[in-house]
Amino acid sequence: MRLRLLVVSLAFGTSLAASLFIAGCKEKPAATVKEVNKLDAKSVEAPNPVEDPRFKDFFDHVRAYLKIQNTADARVPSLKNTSDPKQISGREKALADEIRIERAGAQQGDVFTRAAAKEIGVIVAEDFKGRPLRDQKAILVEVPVKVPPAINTDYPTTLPLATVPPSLLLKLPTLPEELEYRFLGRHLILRDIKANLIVDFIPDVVPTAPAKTAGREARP
Amino acid sequence: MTRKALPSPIAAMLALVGALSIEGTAQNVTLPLLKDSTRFAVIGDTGTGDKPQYDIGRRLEQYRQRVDFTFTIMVGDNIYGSERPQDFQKKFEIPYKPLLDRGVTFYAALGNHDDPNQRFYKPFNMNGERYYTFTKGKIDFFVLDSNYMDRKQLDWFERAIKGSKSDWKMTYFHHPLYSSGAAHGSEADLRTLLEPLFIKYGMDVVFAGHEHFYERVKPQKGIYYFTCGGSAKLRKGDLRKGSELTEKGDDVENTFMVVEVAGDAFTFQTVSAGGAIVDSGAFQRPR
Repeated sequence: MRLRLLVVSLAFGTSLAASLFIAGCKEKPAATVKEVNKLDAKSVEAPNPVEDPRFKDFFDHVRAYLKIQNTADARVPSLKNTSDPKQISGREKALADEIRIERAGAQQGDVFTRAAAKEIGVIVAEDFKGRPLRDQKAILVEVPVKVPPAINTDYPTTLPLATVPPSLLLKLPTLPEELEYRFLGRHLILRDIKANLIVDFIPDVVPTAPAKTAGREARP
Repeated sequence: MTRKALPSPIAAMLALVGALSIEGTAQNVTLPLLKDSTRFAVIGDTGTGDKPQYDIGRRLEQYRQRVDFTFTIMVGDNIYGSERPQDFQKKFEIPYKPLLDRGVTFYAALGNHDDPNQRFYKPFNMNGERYYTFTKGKIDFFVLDSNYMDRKQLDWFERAIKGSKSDWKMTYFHHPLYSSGAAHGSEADLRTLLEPLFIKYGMDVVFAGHEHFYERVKPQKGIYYFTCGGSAKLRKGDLRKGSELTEKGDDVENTFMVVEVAGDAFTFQTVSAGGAIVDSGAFQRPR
């Protein structure tokens, strides 16, 4: 009997707390943390420079690269959903090997033309300059730093793919889905997603970064 | 204890908290288990191949036997380090073999440690896409790639959620928009882009990982946020004490979540590798 009473009172007490939780959640939501900084808000409205004449040359080179990728792609077995991861990694490697053959002798700057590299460098530098130091640190916290990029080499599979801030991505020329921007050290690389290949890079595009890492929002 | 369908979600929740009061441990606790409900597990930052991942895998299977969840969502960092065929075995197929054998399906999001070509790995059910959507019961899930939130993905997401007709809208991706983690913290940049869309189109619940702990964030602008990134890795003591964001958190044990959605009620339990209930609760979706 005592046990039953205890159970009933415990259940009642907990359910009361839970009901308050429900009511509290909906009627009086918790105050949000400090709103994001103004720079981020601006970037949402930033025009996409995809058709910007400053990048015309760059996109010509991107298209040329995609032609090479298509040629290489046709030489390897097509990749479909598979339960065999060997097929995924095998195909990735085979495609990278074919691309390496197709663009043997490729050099840094072949895709990121000098003019494009300069413009992109300005975009990245201004983006970083507009961020609080803490935010800059947070962006770079997981960027691998010990591996210098080299053209036509694999992106090291054991390293994380550091996240490029979305607001910065929206300011950069939009890439076709086969390619992406990533940071590797202080360099901005152009990575072939299917082949996991470093296609090109802009050296030292990231401003000298503070070494120590920290969270992104100020502690309350 | 046999349970019958309860007349309302609130009654079901009362039954749950009653059960919690009596039993106290996860193995002995069942969610409301309402008829026609949708039940799933949430795991994050899993792919280490180390003991904690296997411990959570075993605990998940124990829990499945009682709760009968039919699918699991993965919030990224599915395979850490090298991604050779043997890594997929060691870091996914073996630890979750009992679940896979029982037909539990997994739906993965990409983390910053994942090669995007994981999208072709059939057991992750990504159908070759970095971001995708799927429906279970009355829930539309929007799985995003927060590592690379470009204009294309944002446009896709807006189109997808705009067209959603389901009662519930849930999303998951790797980086938490709100977090009390000392090492990473909130992804304010990402939040600027996504939160307005969440609010505009009525997102109900957001799951994320990246932070190697569990955190239930106080509802933000009417949206519920859970970080469940401690299902294999653990960053002990990383949850900032006294954070104004935290409703409940745990950074001392590896954890996973089990969720049941029935009608307008969302019920959840967060369970540690040791079988203790770290957090639990329920709320109702506004009509």
